[in-house]
Amino acid sequence: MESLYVLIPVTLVLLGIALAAWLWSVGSGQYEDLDKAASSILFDDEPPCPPANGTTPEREES
Amino acid sequence: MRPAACFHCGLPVPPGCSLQVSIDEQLQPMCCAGCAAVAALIAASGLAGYYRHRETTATTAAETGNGAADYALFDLPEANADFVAVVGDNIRRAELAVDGIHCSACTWLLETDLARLPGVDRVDVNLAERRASIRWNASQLPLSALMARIRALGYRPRPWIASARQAAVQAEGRALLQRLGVAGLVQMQVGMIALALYAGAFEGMEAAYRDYLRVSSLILSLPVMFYACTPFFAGAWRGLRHGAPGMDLPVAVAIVLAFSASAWFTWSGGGEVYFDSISMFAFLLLLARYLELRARENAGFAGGGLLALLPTGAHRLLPDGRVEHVPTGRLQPGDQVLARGGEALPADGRIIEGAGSCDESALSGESVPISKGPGDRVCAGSLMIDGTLVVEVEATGLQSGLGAMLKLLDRALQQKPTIQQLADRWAVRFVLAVLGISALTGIGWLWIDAARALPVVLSVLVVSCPCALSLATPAALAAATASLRERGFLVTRAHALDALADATLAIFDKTGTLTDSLLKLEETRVLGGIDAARCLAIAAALESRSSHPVASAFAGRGTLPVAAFRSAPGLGVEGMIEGRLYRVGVASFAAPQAGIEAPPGGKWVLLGDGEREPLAWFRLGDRVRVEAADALNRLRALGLDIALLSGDAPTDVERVACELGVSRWRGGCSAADKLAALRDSGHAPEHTLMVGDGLNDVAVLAGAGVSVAVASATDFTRAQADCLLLGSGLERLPEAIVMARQSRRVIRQNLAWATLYNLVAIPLAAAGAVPPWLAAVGMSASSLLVVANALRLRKHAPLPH
Repeated sequence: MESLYVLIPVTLVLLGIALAAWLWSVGSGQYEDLDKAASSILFDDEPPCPPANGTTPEREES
Repeated sequence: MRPAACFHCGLPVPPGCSLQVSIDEQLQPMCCAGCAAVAALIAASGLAGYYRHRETTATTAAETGNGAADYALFDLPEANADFVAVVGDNIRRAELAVDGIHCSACTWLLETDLARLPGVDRVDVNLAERRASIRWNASQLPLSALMARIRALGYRPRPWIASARQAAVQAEGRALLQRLGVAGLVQMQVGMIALALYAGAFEGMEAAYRDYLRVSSLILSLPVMFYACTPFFAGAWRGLRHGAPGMDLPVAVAIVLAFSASAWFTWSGGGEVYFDSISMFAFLLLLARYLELRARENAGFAGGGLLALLPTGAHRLLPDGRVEHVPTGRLQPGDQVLARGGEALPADGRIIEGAGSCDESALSGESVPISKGPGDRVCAGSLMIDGTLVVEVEATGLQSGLGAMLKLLDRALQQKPTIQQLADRWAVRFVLAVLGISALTGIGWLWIDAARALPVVLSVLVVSCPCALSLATPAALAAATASLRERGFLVTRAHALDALADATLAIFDKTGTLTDSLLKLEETRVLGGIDAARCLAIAAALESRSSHPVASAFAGRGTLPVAAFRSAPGLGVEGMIEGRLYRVGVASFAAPQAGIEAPPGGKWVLLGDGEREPLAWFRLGDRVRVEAADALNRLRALGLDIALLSGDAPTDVERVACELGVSRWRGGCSAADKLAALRDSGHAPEHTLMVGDGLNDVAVLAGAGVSVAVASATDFTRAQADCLLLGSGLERLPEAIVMARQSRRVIRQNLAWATLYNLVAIPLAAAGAVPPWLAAVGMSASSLLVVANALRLRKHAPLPH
């Protein structure tokens, strides 16, 4: 049971870190928009080809 | 044959349009040059992933044609001071409201594309608020280039000017979430230690260990007590000062008493400690508040009032003939401005020169664009469809007709019926009773056994815990709101569900609400020697080349070849068919020498030969939405009266009313008439439901008990409404009413359960028969039951049949 004298202070320290992380993450606005992050995994990180400028739509006769 | 849908925006591709863009190595149809340009840009930038992952089609890019030059104004420091912050040397951060963001694919597209521009440092797009926050180096890139790029991607950027209320709601939400998290994390730790203490109480435990565990719990509870619970203390104090104690008072009393007593017993080593109950108590109550806040914070529309409705800049004609681009706010009565097709008018005025057609549907409810010429009045905020006008400004800003509408809105808001929530009325009475009982119990026990008085009073307060009561409403509201949201019905104000359940009269606007934006042909009256079918074929052939809204009435009927096509803004269209000239449009254009007038009632266009021979009149009307009749029938089945109020001409309103079987209708209403009609409807204003879309509906929406804006409503109208239809049609309305009534029932059940539980538990606690651990268990169990009952609302399919 003596281990409690070590373990509970350790818990307090860990909890303190967790609380600080929580306050920071909410304060920095990470929880404002939960939908965007959820689907961001679907998108490619880097598009396959570089940006091109001055493109015009293709016109086809039908 | 059904026309193909535009791959970008989903609108039907007009006949004769052959625009195509290659996306992911497949040619896709486009409805207009605007959409094609946007799609080509997206594909060429390698961002076609947008099309694979988007959840809905984009806003059509057809109207984003010109106006990109407007953004140059925002490069002036005095014009962008409100929404651009200076971060460092040349580093700026701009907050932009972006219209047209629909799903996370849009945010990805904007973030990825903008981040590649030179000088752009960081882009954050918030989907819920439709807001982009961009940090960039102003020496490398002007703000106008960023805005033009957003426009090129098919979105419409404008300055984000957050109202004080929006900023406050956001700050409140963040602070509450932080407190909730703190209470939650602490509650787990304290709960673990409490379990050991309970086990010790049964099995025996050395006093040294017990005291050590109690001191640990005390330390852990400090952040809950002095950080997480502060809103309750502040609320209780506010209530006391105003002489109207609310739910916060007993909560604060219970927390302070329980904490002080526990701290005392930790110090003195006797009695019981309640640290676990305090933190769980705080966690559940904060959860209830957070749910409530989430249920009503969905508004997410940038304010900005009048600013958002008017174009950012105007083209002012100088006396020497030059055109100067000025911010709309600098216009003065007497100025002459140039207005072109596709632009919104910046001020009220009189046309001096030119002709064109104006869409005033949002302002007046007129279903068909109005042709205007010299001498006619135009109003601020109406949209020019075609033509070019020189307008002499008569009134600007708040003096304009639009400003008058906003003033009417303010008045209606001040008189908005207040709806007190069912649970609040109960809760206040209940907590006062509990406080009284606790006091009596304390006095009673002081006589019987003074040493037990404090523990017993504490167990009464803990066991009665208004948790279940205060969770009853927010949990049900949050579940119902989430369920409705999945069905495309967004609730943005807290009272809306309550008011929907109470509604006895549903009032609809006509143009844009019960009808959609397309027109249909009502009647053909032949005047000359050509039969009706032939007249129709000729008119349809001419109109098939036009992008004017009138053309939608003739869609899909014309296959004759047309040569020498020309459109005359504000007048009509002309072309050669089989060697003869024909014109469709206003009488003075189609057959100028015939000198005939349009028949009375309705909107008419004339087919003529351009000289003296009129051939046929066509009467146009707006098309009732396909689901409207069904939705109204279901509302009637739910016991609601239906009424129709419109600014359109009475003959058109009557036709739509007849088609939908509505007997109470009024046409030709101004915004003020609508508000008056609502008040005289014979139903209590708080029991009315108003559905609308235009700016002329804003005041009556505010005056009704609960208001709904349809998907196509103007942004300003959507920001004012209590509920929004998202993309879906009117059939969501009866579903929402059924859901509101169900959630009302669930709230009643929850309140009944909480009452019953307290009737049993409080006397037991007052008799001293409930130990603290049982009080804590009882409290959590009743709270969980209430939440579980509310969650049933998420599963239920509320389809009235």
